[in-house]
Amino acid sequence: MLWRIVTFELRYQLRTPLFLVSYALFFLLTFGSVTIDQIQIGAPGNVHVNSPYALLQTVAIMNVFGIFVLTAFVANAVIRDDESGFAPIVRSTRITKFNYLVGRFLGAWLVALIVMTSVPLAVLIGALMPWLDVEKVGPLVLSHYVYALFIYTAPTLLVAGAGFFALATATRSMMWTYVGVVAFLVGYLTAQVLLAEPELETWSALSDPFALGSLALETRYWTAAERSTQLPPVQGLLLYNRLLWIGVAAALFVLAYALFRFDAKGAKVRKSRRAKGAETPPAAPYLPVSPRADRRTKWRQFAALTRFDMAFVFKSPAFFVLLALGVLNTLGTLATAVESHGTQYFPVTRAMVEALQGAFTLFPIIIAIYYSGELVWRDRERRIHEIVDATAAPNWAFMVPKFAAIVLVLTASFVVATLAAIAFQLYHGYTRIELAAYLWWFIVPGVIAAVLLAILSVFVQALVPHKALGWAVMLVYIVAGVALSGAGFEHNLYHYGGSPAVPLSDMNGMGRFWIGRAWFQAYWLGFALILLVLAHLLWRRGVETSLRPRLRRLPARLRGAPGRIIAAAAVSWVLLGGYIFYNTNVLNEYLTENDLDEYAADFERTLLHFESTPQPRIIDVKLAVDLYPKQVRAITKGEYTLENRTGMPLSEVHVR
Amino acid sequence: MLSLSGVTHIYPTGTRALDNVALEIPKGMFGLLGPNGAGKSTLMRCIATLQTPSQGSIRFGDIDVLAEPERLRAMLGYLPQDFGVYPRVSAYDLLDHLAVLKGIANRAERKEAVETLLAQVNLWNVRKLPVAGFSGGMRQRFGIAQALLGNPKLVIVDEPTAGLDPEERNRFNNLLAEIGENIVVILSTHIVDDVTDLCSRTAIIVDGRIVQVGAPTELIARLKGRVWQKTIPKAELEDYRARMNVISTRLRAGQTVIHVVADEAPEHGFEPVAAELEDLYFATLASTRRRAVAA
Repeated sequence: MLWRIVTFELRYQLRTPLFLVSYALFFLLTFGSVTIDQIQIGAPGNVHVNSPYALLQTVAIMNVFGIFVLTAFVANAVIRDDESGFAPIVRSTRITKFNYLVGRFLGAWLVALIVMTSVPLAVLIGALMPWLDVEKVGPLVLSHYVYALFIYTAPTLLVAGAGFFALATATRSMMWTYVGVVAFLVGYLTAQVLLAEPELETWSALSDPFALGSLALETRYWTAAERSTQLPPVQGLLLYNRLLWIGVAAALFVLAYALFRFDAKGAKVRKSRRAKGAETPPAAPYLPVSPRADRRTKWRQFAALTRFDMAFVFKSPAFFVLLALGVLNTLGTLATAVESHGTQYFPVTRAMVEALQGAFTLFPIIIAIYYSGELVWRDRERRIHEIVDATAAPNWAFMVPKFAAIVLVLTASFVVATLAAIAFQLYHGYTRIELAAYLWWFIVPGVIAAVLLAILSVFVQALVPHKALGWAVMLVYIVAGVALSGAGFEHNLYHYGGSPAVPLSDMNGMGRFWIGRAWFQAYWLGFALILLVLAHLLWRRGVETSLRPRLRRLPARLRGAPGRIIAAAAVSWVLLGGYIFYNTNVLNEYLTENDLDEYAADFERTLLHFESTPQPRIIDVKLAVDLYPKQVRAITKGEYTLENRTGMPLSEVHVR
Repeated sequence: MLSLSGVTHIYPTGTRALDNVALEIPKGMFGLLGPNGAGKSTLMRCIATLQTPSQGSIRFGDIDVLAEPERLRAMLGYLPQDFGVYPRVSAYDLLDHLAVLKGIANRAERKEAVETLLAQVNLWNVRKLPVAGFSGGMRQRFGIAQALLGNPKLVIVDEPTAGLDPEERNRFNNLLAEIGENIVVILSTHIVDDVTDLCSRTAIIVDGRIVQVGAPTELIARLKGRVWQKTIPKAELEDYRARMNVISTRLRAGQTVIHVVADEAPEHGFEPVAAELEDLYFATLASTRRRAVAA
């Protein structure tokens, strides 16, 4: 019986799109890291691409990402019967609680394990690719892959799976389970930072369920040759780590078992509040009121839907948890900004903002992608879409509030992070609070980036036939962006939302760097406006998921305002792009990281033989430097004193 | 008013849900009869702009529904077969929200409309309770209230009386009959009595094809004097089925009663009965199925 349930769960989940999408994603990501130099997972250093060390590191890091997929499988196994209403039927059969829970869990765990087999498989296949440098590939040793799968992946998935299985059982909510995943990852990363001191290394190695720390500790004195050929023996800290976490997994599963109530969740008995509505009903019969479709009505509809979507987001507990996690994450990063290797620094605003930017790279992306899916698909998931989509409210009145809600959520998180940073400054006795600096350095660029991201993710969700597919597309977009940059395609003109980095200075803030960024922001906002109008035109109404009928209707709908807006946006987008291209590639030389590396290598090759040429030494420097930070100008006057200390006459002096 | 021609819909799975449907639907109540899975809901959704058929055209007055769905939505009231609601939102608030979406932006007008409608569908006393906690009948009444909002010219109700108790069904049908006098009301159902009671015209849809259209009385007239009834032992049912055109069997006080269509009494013991719409419906289903088997 147990085995039947396991295999049913396997067959069921193996057919879900999530399985295929995640399998492909993990395979491609790993395959890319093996076969393309610019894509790197971890930092294996000078070892074979398929060496045990590189393999284990890749597998362990991918396991961290794998948690998200794993959670979807195990949470689905425990939640779906209640959500689909099938629970009473299943649970009134002769199935026992033990078989039900253990079978479901094992099935879901196996599916996740199968997904993660894509990682070693991709390393194996990747290493066979003909274009790889022969010197970077070691021999194929199958036992390494088996080791990676059973010593690393299987126990890690077991403990994380049991933990989130328990959480899903307790909360009966996918959302709360994912909140737990984010909390867990933030906690994990924080713990790894806090335990990074050498005297805590044992704790660090033991407390890491992904066993990355144990790997680093076991192999830190290994030579490259050893790392390329040997597996860390399953003993000592690594063994204890694995045993410890398998034990924790068992404990968590027992907890889930205890939490799970097999009998139907009793409907909460509400106190009847009928008395409250007991006023006399209107006696007049219903007289139809003619609806209007004027501009004012449309704005009212827009306002009503905005209120509705805002309430959906701001009243959802997930928002507050995400906010709390954001603040936690921020404070962790801020702490590193005022102390480094035992030296204390002032918590100046520049340092605070740099820390905030670091803490808020991934966070807004997750929020935007998550909420776009939730908001766009909410009506359908509540099964009220046939009613609201048959009303006269225009598409944009549905679409724009969702985008606005996401932007507002992100803005709120930026503001809260700023407040946390200010509190942090005050706590450290630093009272020079620069609100304007926070606004212009952190919040405004952050909001602009949020607008771009929100538009893209709402646009994607409006087109795809399923929420999970929309999330997958966004994930591919993020990964593809990283991969393209890695492969030498790094021009901001084709990285959606891309803009040059603006370095901050304590002296003159953003200097003039913000101007370049502003051009790019304008360029991408123009493009985003096109996407926004297209999202309006292609908005899904009713039960349709296919895109084709909407595309067929598109040309006719372009007539009038939408077409004019798209035309104007497209023209300004192209003009801005042309101007930017003229500046980046014509007036200036466009160099990629690769070009710069090559330049540096050339430089070295050409000039290396001058290294030993006898040269005079600088023995004294006197400089008077006048800095004009606002004008980005410096006037330097002074003198260097050079002395020939070689004791021989010099025939040449090189200046560079 | 509403005219469909050549409407065909094939789902991505290959199911032909609608097959070359052509219908002219005038003002008044129009009943769409068909067994489960015949394509009723797909047809309803296509008319309600919620689904684009693979082929065909749908026009309402001067509106090309497929090209300009927005214009139809402005005069549409739609009650889907099955719908959910937002959690924790009261009946009043939800109806108010939907009223705004339907274009009743004026606050005073909206209040009036929402309040009188709630009273009319007998939800006044529970208007401050969340719709999510309503019983099936209450939820259905909420559904009809939202479909009537905003003076619709076309009302589409998909199996509205499913799950209502007889009293509620009666009240609901009265409400429909009242509004159905001046506008187009399309009622899809598998309950033949609803059509008999309410509709001036009806169509029978089987396997995505319209197989009968007309006024119920005209349709019934075609069967006049040709429906015969007999009470038989249950064991002989298969024998009768093999020998004659049995269109329906039912139990009456534990006895099996069969209806047979034939020009004269098929054999001894059959007595004539007045044809009803139900006989027509079953006769149509029976003949369609026989044709399907023969093909």
